Amino acid sequence: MKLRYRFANQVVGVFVILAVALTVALIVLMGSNQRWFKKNFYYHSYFTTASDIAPGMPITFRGFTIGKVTAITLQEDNNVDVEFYIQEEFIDKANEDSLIQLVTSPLGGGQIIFHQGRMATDPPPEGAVIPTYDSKQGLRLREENRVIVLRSTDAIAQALDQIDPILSNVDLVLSNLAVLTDDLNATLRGEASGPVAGILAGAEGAVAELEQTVVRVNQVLDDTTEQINSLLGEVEGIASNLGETTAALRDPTGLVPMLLDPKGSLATLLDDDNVLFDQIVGIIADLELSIGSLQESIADVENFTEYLNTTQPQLTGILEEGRQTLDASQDVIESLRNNPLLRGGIPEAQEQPSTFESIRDEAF
Amino acid sequence: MGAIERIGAATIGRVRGLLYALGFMVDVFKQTFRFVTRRKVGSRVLTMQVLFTGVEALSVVATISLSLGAVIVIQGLSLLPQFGQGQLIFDVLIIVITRELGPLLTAVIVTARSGTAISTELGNMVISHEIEAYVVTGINPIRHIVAPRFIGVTLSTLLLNLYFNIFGLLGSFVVTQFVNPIPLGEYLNGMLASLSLTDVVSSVVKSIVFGAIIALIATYHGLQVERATTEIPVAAIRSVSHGITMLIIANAIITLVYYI
Amino acid sequence: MEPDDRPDEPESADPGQAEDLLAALGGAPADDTAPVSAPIEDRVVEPEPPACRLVGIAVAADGHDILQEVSIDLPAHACTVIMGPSGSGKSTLLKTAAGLIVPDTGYVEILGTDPSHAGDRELERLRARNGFVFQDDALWQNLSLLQNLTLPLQYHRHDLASDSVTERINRLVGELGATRRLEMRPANVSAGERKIISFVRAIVGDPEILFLDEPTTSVDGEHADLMIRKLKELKEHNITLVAVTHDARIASQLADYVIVLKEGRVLRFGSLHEISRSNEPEIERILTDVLSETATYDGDILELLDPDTNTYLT
Repeated sequence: MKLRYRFANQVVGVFVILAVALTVALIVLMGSNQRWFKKNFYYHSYFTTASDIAPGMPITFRGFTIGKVTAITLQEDNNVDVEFYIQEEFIDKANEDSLIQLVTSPLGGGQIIFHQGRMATDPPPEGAVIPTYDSKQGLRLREENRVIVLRSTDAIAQALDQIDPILSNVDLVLSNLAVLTDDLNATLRGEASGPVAGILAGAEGAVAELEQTVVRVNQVLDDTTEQINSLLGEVEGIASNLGETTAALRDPTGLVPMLLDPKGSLATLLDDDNVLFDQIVGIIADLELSIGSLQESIADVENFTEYLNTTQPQLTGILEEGRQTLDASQDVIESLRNNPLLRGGIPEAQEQPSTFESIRDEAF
Repeated sequence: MGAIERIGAATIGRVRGLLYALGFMVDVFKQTFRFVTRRKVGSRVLTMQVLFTGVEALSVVATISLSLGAVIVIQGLSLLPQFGQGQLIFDVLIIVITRELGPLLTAVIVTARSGTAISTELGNMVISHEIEAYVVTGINPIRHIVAPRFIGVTLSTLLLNLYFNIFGLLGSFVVTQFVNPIPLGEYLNGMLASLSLTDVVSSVVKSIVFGAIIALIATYHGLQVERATTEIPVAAIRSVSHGITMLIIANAIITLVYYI
Repeated sequence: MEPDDRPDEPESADPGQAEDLLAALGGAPADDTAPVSAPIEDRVVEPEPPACRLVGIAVAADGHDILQEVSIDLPAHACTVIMGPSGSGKSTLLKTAAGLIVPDTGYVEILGTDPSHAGDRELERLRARNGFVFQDDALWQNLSLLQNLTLPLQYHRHDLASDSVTERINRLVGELGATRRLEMRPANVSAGERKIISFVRAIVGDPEILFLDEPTTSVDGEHADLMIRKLKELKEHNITLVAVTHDARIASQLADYVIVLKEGRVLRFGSLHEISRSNEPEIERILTDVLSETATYDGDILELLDPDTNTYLT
């Protein structure tokens, strides 16, 4: 009798026990890996659309997956009920003022970001509704600063943090320009006491600064073209600033009418050895350049936005608005340039000096 | 005799055969239940059946599953990353090894080894009046002969399938180390994340059903032998061809049910 | 009822009763010289139900009739020997009587139970009351000789402790002279030993009816004698014996009744006395043919069967 047959019971016992043990181990590992034994806390949220939301989508908090979407259903009122859970081990992160926000990435696939409420409270009861970022309640919570919205939670927010000071700088420059235009107007009307050249020099500096700023904005925008998501508000800001500037330029009592007014200080200007003219032309050219480059960056943004078109339709609208504003300002600049007086006069004036000089020289 | 009569006779014969086989199946289930509840005498037969069908087939199963795991990993790792879907290798491994080929290949191995053996053995027992000896001694041959083989083959198929999975999934890890080394922890994590309980349940259900099919068909054909020794090889051949056909049909049905 | 008296009892059986029975069974007409007459014990005193009743049995295989119109009551507590030329359906009759072959028509009652209508449990209990010795040994090849003997007891005799099982087996094996090591597999011992072991297997569970299909073939004379002695002892213990045999010793020493089969039909069923004194040439010829295979006795073959004159074994 073979040894194997004599110890058949033992051999079969080992065979069975080993298989069962390995399987049990596998299932236990699977269980711990897939959190079978952990409790999940279920909540609801209402979105306006289910596009980009799918069951299984992760809920993240500071980069950690703390839960998942389990079901989406279309309600009677056309809202989309999104059921999701928060894992037991993260449930203490949830509190009364929490928000959730849908963030989609350009390459498809998105995530839902969880924003913790500022006040430390117990987690909301299971089955409670957690407002979304864009809902009225979410907006109110944000306005009342009751929710911690971490800008640094994503790269877009970081980029925007960078842009913020730059944009406020642009703001400053533009308001300086407005002040300057007022001063220039005053000077041209003969109301100012300071020397015109000095003011204009200041204006030149401001324009240079604006140009630099625009370059910097450009850089940042280049850096963040992939993460343009929340740029809207800021672009709107730029647009409105530019709008203000353009409005200033359009002001009937402003610079342009003064320049065009033959009864104004044109003679003074002409008498000033063309210095003022050159400077004005320079300013306008610079301004045009700045606006051009800003327009370029917005065009870049727009190009990118076209890509994002489906996901962020509102961005296009705002950018379009911004561009319209820029176009309007450019029109004004263009009208300045194309002003018959300036166009006819300035080139001549540029060529004239030698003639004038010679005549004057000869006259003397 | 007209064609209609022939068709009619053939149909009646078929239906009778089917009913007989169904009756046999019901009887096997009934006697298996009795064997389990009143098991005292036949445990040795069961042990030996698991030894022959399970333990002795382990080396074949291990070899096949190791090489299958290796082949899937090699092919998968050369193909999938081209679509940027390298992570899918685990899903492919699980579908092929756990869900489909694991149970089916194990069952085919068991059919080839033990299905034939059981048919031949039972055929011989009929010829040498051993079955009659059981009947006349008041020992139900279905309970004493078929039930332990039924349990043994079903259990062995299940266990072999578990081993097939273990070897196949771990074997692929060993091969991965040569092709594209990744740490064991990461491999296990990826594997465990892709492996769902439904996969495991589906695999287990399949191997149990397959084992039952093999045992039923093998014992049925074995007991179909009546008088002549020449019937024995015929029974063995029938048990293999019939068995494999039924396995593939059952596999399709279970997979279908699983996806529905 | 004394076993010694029994051989004479059929003579005292009321022939009229037998006729009634036959008539009831649709058998041969009531006639003293009827080819089939059922020997029935005196029921007036104590009606003894038959151990085994076969009613209108027909068995066919491959389109050939093996048994036809067999209706017999095998008497209890007696030994019935089935005789007939080869191919006359003796083994089939025996297996049908034992409930191993389900007849195509007719039915069988063993100890009052029809096996084809019995439930599983009932059938199992009924089987446990029967023993069957196959022509070939039909030992379970995958078990040792000892396991072959213990398995029926494990199934049916839960009352026996393992000690008494061993004791019982050893005693029986000793009585029959099979002293070889019982751990061996059937394939490793001689055909004669296998036959003896299969005989022991049939009687180890104390059956009430013992069916024997050529129990002494391939067993040497000495062991056959031991076997016959054991059968006698069993008979003394009121066990019903039904045997198919060519062995004149079994026929002469054990038989109370004889069934003579020819071509699947019962030619004659009667007490040994009746049969052995029969002067029908056909029966005489069949018995001569059958018994000459084992007997070397060259005298009157029918004398051989007569227990009163037979000194063959004593």
